[in-house]
Amino acid sequence: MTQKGFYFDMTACIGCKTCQIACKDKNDLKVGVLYRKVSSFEGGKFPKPWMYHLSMSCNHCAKPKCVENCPTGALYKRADGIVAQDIEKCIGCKYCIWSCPYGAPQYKEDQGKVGKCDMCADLLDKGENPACVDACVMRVIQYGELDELKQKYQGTQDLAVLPESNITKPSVLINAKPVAEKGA
Amino acid sequence: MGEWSLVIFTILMQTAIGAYLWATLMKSRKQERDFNKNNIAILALTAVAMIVSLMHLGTPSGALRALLNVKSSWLSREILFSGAFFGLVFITVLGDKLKLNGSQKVLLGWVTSVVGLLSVFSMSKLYMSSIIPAWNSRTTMLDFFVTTIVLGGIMLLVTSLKELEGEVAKLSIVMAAAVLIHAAVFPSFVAGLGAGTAAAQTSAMKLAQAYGGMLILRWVLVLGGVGLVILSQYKKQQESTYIYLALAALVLGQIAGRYIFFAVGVARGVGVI
Amino acid sequence: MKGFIEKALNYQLERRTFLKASAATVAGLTLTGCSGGLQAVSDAVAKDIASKEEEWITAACWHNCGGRCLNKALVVDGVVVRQKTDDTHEDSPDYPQQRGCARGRSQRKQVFGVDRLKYPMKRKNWAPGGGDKELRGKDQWVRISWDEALDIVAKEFIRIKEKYGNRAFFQGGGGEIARTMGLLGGYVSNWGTTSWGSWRWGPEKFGMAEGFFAHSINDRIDLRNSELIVIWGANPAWSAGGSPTYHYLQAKKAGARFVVIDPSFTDTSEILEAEWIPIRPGTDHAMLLGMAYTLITEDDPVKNPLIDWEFLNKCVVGFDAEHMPEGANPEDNLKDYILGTYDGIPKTPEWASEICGVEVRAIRKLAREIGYTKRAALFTGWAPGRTHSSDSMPQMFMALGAMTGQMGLSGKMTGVSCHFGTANGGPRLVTNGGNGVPGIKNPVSDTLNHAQMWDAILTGKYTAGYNDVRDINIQLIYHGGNAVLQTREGMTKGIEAHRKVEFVVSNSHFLTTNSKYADVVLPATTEWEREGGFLTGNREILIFYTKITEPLYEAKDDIWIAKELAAKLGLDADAVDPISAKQKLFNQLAGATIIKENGNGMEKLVTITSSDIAQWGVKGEPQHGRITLKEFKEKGMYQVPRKPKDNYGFIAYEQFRKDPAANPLNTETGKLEIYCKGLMELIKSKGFTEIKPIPTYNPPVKGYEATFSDWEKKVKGEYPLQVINPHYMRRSHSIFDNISWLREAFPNPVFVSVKDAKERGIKHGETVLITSEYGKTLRMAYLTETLMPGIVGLPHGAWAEIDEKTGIDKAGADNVLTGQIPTGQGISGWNTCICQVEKWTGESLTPDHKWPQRIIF
Repeated sequence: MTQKGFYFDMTACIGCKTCQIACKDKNDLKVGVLYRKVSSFEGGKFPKPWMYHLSMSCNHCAKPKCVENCPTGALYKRADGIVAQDIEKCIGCKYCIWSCPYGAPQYKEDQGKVGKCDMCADLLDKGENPACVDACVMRVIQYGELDELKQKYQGTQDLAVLPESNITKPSVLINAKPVAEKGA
Repeated sequence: MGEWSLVIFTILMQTAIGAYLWATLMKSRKQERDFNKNNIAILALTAVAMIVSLMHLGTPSGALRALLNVKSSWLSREILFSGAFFGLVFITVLGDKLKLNGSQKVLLGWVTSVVGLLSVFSMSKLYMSSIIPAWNSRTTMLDFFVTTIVLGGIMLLVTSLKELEGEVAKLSIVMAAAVLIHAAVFPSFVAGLGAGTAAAQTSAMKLAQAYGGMLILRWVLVLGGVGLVILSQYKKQQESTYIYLALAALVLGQIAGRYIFFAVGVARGVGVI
Repeated sequence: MKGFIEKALNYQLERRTFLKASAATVAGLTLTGCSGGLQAVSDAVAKDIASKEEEWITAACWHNCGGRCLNKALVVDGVVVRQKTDDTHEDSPDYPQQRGCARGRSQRKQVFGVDRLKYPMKRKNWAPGGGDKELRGKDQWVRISWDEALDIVAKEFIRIKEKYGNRAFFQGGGGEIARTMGLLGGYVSNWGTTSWGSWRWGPEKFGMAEGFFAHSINDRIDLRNSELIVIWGANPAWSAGGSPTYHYLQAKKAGARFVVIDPSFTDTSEILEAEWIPIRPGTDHAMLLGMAYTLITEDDPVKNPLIDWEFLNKCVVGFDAEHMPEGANPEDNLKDYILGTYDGIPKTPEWASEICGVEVRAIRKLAREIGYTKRAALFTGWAPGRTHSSDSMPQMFMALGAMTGQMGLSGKMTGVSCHFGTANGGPRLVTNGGNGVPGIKNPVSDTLNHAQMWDAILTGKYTAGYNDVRDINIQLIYHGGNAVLQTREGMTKGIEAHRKVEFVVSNSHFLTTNSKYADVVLPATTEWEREGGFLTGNREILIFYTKITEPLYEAKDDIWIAKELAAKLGLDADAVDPISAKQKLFNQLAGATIIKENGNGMEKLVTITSSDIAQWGVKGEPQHGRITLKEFKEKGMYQVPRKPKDNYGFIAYEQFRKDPAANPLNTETGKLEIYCKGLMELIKSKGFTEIKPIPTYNPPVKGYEATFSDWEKKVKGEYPLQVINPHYMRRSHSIFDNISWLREAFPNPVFVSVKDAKERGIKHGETVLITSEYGKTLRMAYLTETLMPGIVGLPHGAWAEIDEKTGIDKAGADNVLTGQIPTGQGISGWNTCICQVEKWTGESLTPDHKWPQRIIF
C-alpha cells in the first residue's frame, strides 16, 4: 500500500479561498458543507501583528480514526492511501465527525449522509489533479506520494492550531510560518 | 428529536441493562423471584431505546448496516450487543412459554447480563474513542456504569418493590456508593479538562459557566434521589412514595447529566486543538 | 434545544474561522428546462444529465476585479455542472496558467442563481409620471410582458422628452441603451475618476501613465531585477485576482526586499514578508514630502548620493529654481517648498509624521533606502488617489521616483502597479480587433460628475467648468449597466434623487440597488447567455469566450432591449444594432493581433479559412495568423509564452532616459513635470477646487485632519475615525455579493482595530453601528491588530439593505457613509471618509449567508 498526501505551503497562501470554492464546485456542495476549508489566524500586537492561513481538507491519515470508527465500513482506505467513502453504505451516524481531529467529514443535511474529500479520486483515476491543486492561484497546494512530497519539500504535520499528528498520522506536509509552528 | 435521541437511547439502554442486571443478582439470591413485570418493562424500554436511536441517523433505513464493522468500530459493537440484549430479554420474557428450566433461566440471566454489560462497555468505548476530550475520558465509562447501576436499581425498585423485600437497603447502599464515587471523581474530571487542550478547556468552561446551574441541579437530584431510596427504608409506610420520588429525581438528574455530557462535547479540530 | 451537540462540536476558538451553518435554503444544481425556466434538479434528472455528453466551453469571467483569468464551464445539455480554470499549458512562473479566483469559480452560482431576475416587472404603484415616487425601493413588484415593459419605457421617454427635453434624461451607464438614447436626441451622461482617483487624468499632464491603459512600470520579468520593491497603498492579494500576487512572489524569490505602506497589514505584506509601514488614509502626500525632505537635506553627491542629479538635470523640470520651465516663477519649485524657504514650513519628517502617523525614523529610513538602492521599484495602487483633494499626490509620487532616478532602467521603475497591470507593465502583446459597429453621437453635452450628480438631480444645478454652474432638470434615469447607485459616493442622496425624478428604469441580472429603486426593471442576459466575446487583462493574454447556455427565463441581451426600444420609439432600430452578434464576434477575431516574434510591431493572430467564414455565415476574407480559429476556440485563450530575455519585455521610460530630447514625453515641456502648468489648469478647468503647479500638500476634505474638532489642540470631533474601503474577495466591486458560496466564505465584517474596539467596549463579532455625516450602517465587528488604530475598514460594494423604518443600512454598504464632495479633477474620494463606531443595542445581525435571497418571482 502506498500513501498519497497533500502539501500546503502556508508561507505563500493569501487566504483567497479559491481552493475552498473550487472544491465546493467540484463536489457540488451546499452552503454549510466544506470538504476543504481555509481557516485564518492572527495575533500579535499592532504594529507587529502576524497572520496566516491554513487550507485543509481530509488529510487521508495513515491511521484514520474515521475509518476505524465508521460502523458501516462506508469509509475505507484505498490502496493508494486515500480515505474514500462508499456513499451508499453511509447511514449518517456522524461518528466519523466525532472522530476526525481535522473536521474533514461533513454532514449533509439534505442527504442524511456524511461526505468528505476523496482527493478527487475520480479525477486522479482519469490522470487529472485534485480540483484544489489546479485551482490554487498561489500554487501552494500540491499532492502526490507522501514520501515523494517529503523528499521535495520541507514541512510538518504539527501546527499550533492543530491537534497532535500522532492521533491519526495525517498524510499532509505543511510548510509552516514560524509563528504557526507547534510551541510558537 | 435529532440529538435528544442519543440522550434518550443511552439513558434507556443503561436503565434497562441495569434493571436486568440487578434482577439477575437478586434472583441469584432467591430463585423464586421472577421479576416478570420488570422484564416486560426492560423489553419495552430497550425497544423504545433502539427505535429512538434510529432518529439520530441521517439515513435510518440503513440502520442494519451499522453492524458491518464489528471488527473495529465500537459503534457497531454497541449496536450488536444492544440488539443481542434485546433478543435475550425477549427470550427471558418468553422464558416460561419456551419451557426453559431453572438452570437454563439462570444461564440466560447471566448471559443476558454480560451481553448488557458489554453493550454499556461498548457505548462507553464509543464515546471514549472520539476526538472530544469531554467524552474521551474514563469518567465516561464510570458515568455510564453508574447510570446503569442507579437507574437500573430504581427501575427494579419501581417494578418489583414487593419482590425485593429485605434487599432494598443493600441495593440502596450500592446505588448510593456508585453515585458518591461518581460525584467524588467528577471535580477532578472537570479540573482535568480545565488543564487540557483548548477543546477540553472550552468544555470545562461550559461546565462551569453555561451549564453550571444545570450541573448543580443534576447532582442535587441524583444525590437526593439515592438519599430518598435510603430514606424509604426508614419510612416504611410511605416506602413506595419515596421510591417514586427517588425515581423522578434520579431520572431527571441523570437526563440532565447526560444532556450536559453531550452539550459540552467540544471537538478538537483546526483552531480548537 | 435542537442542535446542542452540533453547537458544542463546532465551537470555534479562533477568529476568522466561521461557524458551520446547518440548513441553507439555496437550490443547488439548476438547469434550463424547455420552458427556459430554472428548476432544482432531482436525483433522476441529475443521473440523466450524467449520462449525456459533456463539453468544456470557455466561459466569460467578465468582471472588473483587477485580474483576468481563464474560466471554463463543463456544460451538459445547457447546464453547467462544474467549472475549471486554465489548463491549456504546463504551469511555470515564467509562463503561468491564468488561474481564476473564488469569485470566478463560483460564477455558475451567479448565472444560474435562483435570484436571477426572470421577467420584466414594474412597481405595483407606478403610474405615468411616477405615481407615489416615495415607494421606490419598498413597493411590490408586478410581472409584466416585454411588450408592456417596453411600451411603458417608450411612452415615458416620449412624455418626458416633450415636457422637459432631452436634457431631462440621465443615463447611468451601459453602452447599448446609450445608442438608443443618442438617436432619440441625446442624454445627460456622467463622469468621474472611479477607481483611479487622482491618478485618472493628472499623470498624462506631468508625464506618467494612469496605470490601466498605459503603464509607467517595467514588465514582470524585469521586476525580478529589483532589489527593493515599495508597494504604496495596494493589496493585490485582495484587489487583483489571478496572477498579480504570484508575480510579486517571483520577485521575492529572486531576492527583492518589500516595503508596504498601507493602513492595514495585508495578505500581500504577509506573504512577501514585507516591512509594513502603517499610514493614515489620505496622508500619503505628507509622507512623500517628508521623505523628499530627508533626501534633499541628507544628499551629498560624493559622500552620500541619495538624489540622482543626472536624471533630474536631464529629464525633469520644476525640482529646483535652476530647472524651471519657461515663464514659471523660479520660487515655485519643489525643493524650496519642501525646505520651507518661502512659506516658512519645512516639510520635515516630523511635520509629515504628525499628519500621516508614520514614525519619523521610518520616513527617514525608507527615503534613504530608496535613495541608495541601485535598483528599486516604487509602486502605488490607485487607493491613495481615491481621496479628496489629492490631485497633487500622484505628481509628488512621480517626484520621489524622479529624485531618486528610479526610472527607465532594468529593475528601476516608478508608477502605478495595480489592477490588470499589477507588477506587469507594458503595452498589450495580444489584442482583439474592433467589432465594426459605428458609434452614435450624443447630441447633449451636459455631463455630471459622480461626486456631484445626485446633488445635481436634487438641486437642479451642476458644475460644468470653472465659474460655470448650469441648471439641469433630470426627470428620467436609465440604468443600462453600471451599478452607479450602489458604487458612487453619497448613496443616501442617490436614493433621494431616485425618488425625486418621474421615471427610473434599470436593466439587470438581479434586484441590485439600481433596480431596487427603479419603476421598471428589465431582466438582462449575462455574458454566458450571449454569442461570445473577448477579454483582455494582463498584457500577455487574449481570452475568447463563447456561449454557455441559452438566455434564462425571459432575459434578453442589453442590445436587444436597446433595439426593441428604438423600434417602439419610432427610431431606426437597425442603426442601434447594425451588425449581427456573430459578425461582431468575427470582426473582433479577424482584427486580433499578436506581437511579432522579434518584438517589433503586431501581426494577425488568427488564421481564418474560407470554410471558417462559410461555416460562421459571416462576411470576411481568409487570413493567415498564429493560431487556427478552431484551436483558438478550443483553448479559449491565446497566451504569449514568456521567458527571461525574450523579445517581449518592457522598460518604461527607457528611450526617454537615454535621450530625452529625441524621445520627449507627451507633456508641455517633453519632460517629467514636477512643475506642471497643464495639471494646474486641468484642475482649475473642472471648476471645483484649485492646486499649485508643484505638488503641495492639501489637507483633504474628510481626511485625518477632519477627525479633529481642534487640530492644534488635538481634540477629536464627532467623527473621530477614518474609513477605508478595502476591495473584498467576496465581490468584484458590487458583483457577486449575492452568491451564497462567497457569502459563506467571506462574511463581510467591518474591520476595527483592537484598540479602538476596546475603547468602545466592542467585542469581536458584535454588531456595531457605523455613523458618518451622511448615513448609518450596521456590521459585525472584526477585531484585529492588523489595522492601524483610528481607522475602520469597511469592505467595498455590499448591496445596501436599508431598513425603511430607521433609515439604517444593514449590509455595510460603503457609500451609505460617503457624501457628494467634488474636489479637484472630480475625484471620487472614498478613502477619505470619517465616522464613529459604537456598539449596536438593537437586534444583532445574522450572517449574510443566512439572509433570504432577493427572489421576486
